[in-house]
Amino acid sequence: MFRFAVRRVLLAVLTLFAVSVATFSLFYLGPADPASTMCGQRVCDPATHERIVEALGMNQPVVGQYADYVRGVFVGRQIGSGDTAIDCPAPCLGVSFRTREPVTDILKRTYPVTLSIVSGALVVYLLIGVSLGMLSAIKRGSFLDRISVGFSLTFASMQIYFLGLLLTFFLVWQTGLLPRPQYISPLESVGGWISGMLLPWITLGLINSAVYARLSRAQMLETLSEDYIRTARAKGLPIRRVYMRHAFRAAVTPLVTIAGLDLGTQLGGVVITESTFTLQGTGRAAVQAIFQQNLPIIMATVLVAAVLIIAMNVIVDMLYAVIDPRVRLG
Amino acid sequence: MRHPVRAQVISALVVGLAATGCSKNTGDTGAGKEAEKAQSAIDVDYKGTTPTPAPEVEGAAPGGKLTILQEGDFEHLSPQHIYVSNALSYSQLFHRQLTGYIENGKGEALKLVGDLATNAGTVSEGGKVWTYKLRDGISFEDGTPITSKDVAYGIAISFSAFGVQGPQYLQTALDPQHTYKGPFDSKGAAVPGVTTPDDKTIVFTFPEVHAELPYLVSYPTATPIQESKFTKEKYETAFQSTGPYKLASYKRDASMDLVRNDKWDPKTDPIRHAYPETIHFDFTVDGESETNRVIAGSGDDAASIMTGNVVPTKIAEVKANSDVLGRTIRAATPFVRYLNMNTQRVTDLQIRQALQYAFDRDAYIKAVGGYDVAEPASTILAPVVPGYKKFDEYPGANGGANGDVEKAKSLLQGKTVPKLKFCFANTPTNQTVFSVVQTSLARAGFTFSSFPIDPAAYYTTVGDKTTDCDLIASGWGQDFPDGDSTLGVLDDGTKIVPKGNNNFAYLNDPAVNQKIGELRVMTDRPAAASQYGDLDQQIMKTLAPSIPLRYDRFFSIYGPKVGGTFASPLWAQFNVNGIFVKS
Repeated sequence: MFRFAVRRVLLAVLTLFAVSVATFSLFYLGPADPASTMCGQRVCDPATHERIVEALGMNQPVVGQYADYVRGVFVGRQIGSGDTAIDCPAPCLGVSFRTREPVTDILKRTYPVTLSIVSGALVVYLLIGVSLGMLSAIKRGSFLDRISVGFSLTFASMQIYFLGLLLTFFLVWQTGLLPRPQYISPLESVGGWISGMLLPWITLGLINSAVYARLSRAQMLETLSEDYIRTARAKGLPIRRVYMRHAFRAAVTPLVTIAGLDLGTQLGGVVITESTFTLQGTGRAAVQAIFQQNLPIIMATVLVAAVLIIAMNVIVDMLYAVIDPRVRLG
Repeated sequence: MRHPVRAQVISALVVGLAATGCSKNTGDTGAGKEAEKAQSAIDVDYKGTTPTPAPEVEGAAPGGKLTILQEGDFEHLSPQHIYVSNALSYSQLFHRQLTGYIENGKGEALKLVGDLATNAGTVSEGGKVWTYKLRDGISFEDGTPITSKDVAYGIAISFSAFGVQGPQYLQTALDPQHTYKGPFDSKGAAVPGVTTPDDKTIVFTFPEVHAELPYLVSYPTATPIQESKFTKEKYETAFQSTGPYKLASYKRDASMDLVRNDKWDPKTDPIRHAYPETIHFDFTVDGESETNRVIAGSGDDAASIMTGNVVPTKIAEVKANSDVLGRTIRAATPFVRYLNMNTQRVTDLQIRQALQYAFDRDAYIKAVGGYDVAEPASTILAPVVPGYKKFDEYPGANGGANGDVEKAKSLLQGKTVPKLKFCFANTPTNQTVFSVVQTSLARAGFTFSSFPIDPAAYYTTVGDKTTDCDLIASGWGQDFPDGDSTLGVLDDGTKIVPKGNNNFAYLNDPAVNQKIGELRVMTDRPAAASQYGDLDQQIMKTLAPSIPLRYDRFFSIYGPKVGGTFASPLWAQFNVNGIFVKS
């Protein structure tokens, strides 16, 4: 287990290094000129352009800028010089090109929004999807099964920006059944947080649950056809025990993998959901940063997303061992 | 002036269109009637006769909470960084400058008056020296009196890293060699050309004539800042107010709440009122949701305004609902789109005139969203530019907007026109526009090759004097309400440089250059304004350098409990200086 963990951590560090180098390189290899986009004038005069480049610290060699960036992540750094310098403590992810606000502050502000959307939706789609899939498999061929398959097909074929806008139109603007989506910190008001997040949770939950329902059904059906299930039933174990202790546990293992990877990806920013419901999460901040050529925010969101995806991979691998005793880590 | 970046990203048609001199005042005329009078004159109060406090708005009463719905946060509220239209407009609630504008929404002349200063400026040395005296009784929100040194410090900040994203006109005028770097990097050095002989006086001395200075010091570049209270980047969200409202709370990307500033004295302010008790900015909306919320007008949204245009998908719904239609403001804006003919390459005047005649404006307007968001253009100046003159030198056949193909063909008789290279920023809207323009001009026999350019590199590419583009699409909105901020930028041949041009027709006509130069140095700007309309017509008639495509339109709505607002001819936003909440 220890060797496994060490190997995975080393691999994660290498991956992050590669991701950060690639992001940095792509930014500078492309036609990036953040100074021009920030310039007050449509065609930036050279003197103003030079002042902005200096203010951004982009007049340094690219390798030096990258080295400074990495150093800042571990030990902090000073951005700029003289009286206009900003002290950026570790983990320093830079300051926004546009507002000179520390990127860590931006992440602290946007991340709870993304986390709220993803965590609530996860509960919704796992609850609905897995329950429906399991029931559908157990009652294979029944009316319930057909309903479940129809449900999966319908919602799996929908897009968030379509279903989200449709639900908002009818449930918020036409009938007023749900409050308009907004993020209120649960520390301020738990009720406000839940009511503001309800529609994103329902939308993302419905669409993702469709996939999980189909997966759960297929996995459960496959497990139910295994010899050991037949054996368990033949030796007279109660049917509930057969399903829950033997079949469900085996069927759920691949679902954990997919849920874990999904979670990692979504925690990196659910751009479409955030944009559909105008929630200022990390994904939306990242897209805005790309349009504004705001490198520090692009770097930070890419790196955070990579960290989360890698972390979720490791966690999933470890969970395997807990859920399925056949898996041993070494 | 720039548009909000987020809006640019989302749609060229939903962008912060908006300013106008053609609009409705909701305070005294009742809802729903348009006043389509173009504001085409300016009055500059050099003598300081504008009364204070500002005259009461009819029907206004103090109290209530105003909600302003805006997609996304302001890019900047640290005054010297402000250059985007929404921030220029709404920062009037808490930032004051040396001069400012009085807009009335009834099509009457725009007034440029002393704001913190007693007048719009006292000129001497033929326009090279300007003197401003500060009013009595002006103070920051902490009660500290505002002095000329605070104004000078604000201007010094504009030269530093905390002012690079704001307008650069004043800095370039004061220090053409760009030697001064602001109060941090050039510590101890005085701002070039700025002196403060006493606490009430600030003097600007320029190496050249700068008749436009009264406009330049209306930008937040000239907002005073207390040196001891300037917190650098933190000032963006914790600024000292000098206007009628001050910050109560600011949650980045979420909301901003303002309360009345009890240190602001209305007797010192000829422009602003402070009717609403509080003002709440909600940054968590998008175009669709702000439209929906103002249409519904329930709860706090009854006293709300939106900062974007009505989204195109909702325009039909708005027009079909008499209640909402009554809360609609439709008006002209300062933004004009052009198809410039590169006169270095398309040298034959008759060919340029044929292109003008062949253009089908009706098809074009329909392609870009219809007559609710755009109006056929025939002039270089926007209808809100002081001095604007309405004319059409190349009218369509039978007075229509479909062009005059026969006239175009007759102008082309005996000429061989090579294939023209059409350059445009590569966006979905522009691709549609290209196809419409191509079809439209092909009726007279023109042929084209298209050259779409990455939007980020577009103006750099076509701004290179050696460009081989024949037709160059562009847009413009004046930076300050003066003909020189349009014709002096787009058609002055003396300003053509190897790279970084705004004169995309590359027009370089000695007579036009001379006239622009003469008008530019006139220190009596209202007198100068009256001559820009004729110059516009002369350029279009005798040189035909650009096809004016469309004037952008403001189409926005406000909540049922809002009064005293109208579309600003300057900033393409609702004017909030006299806005109130109806009880």
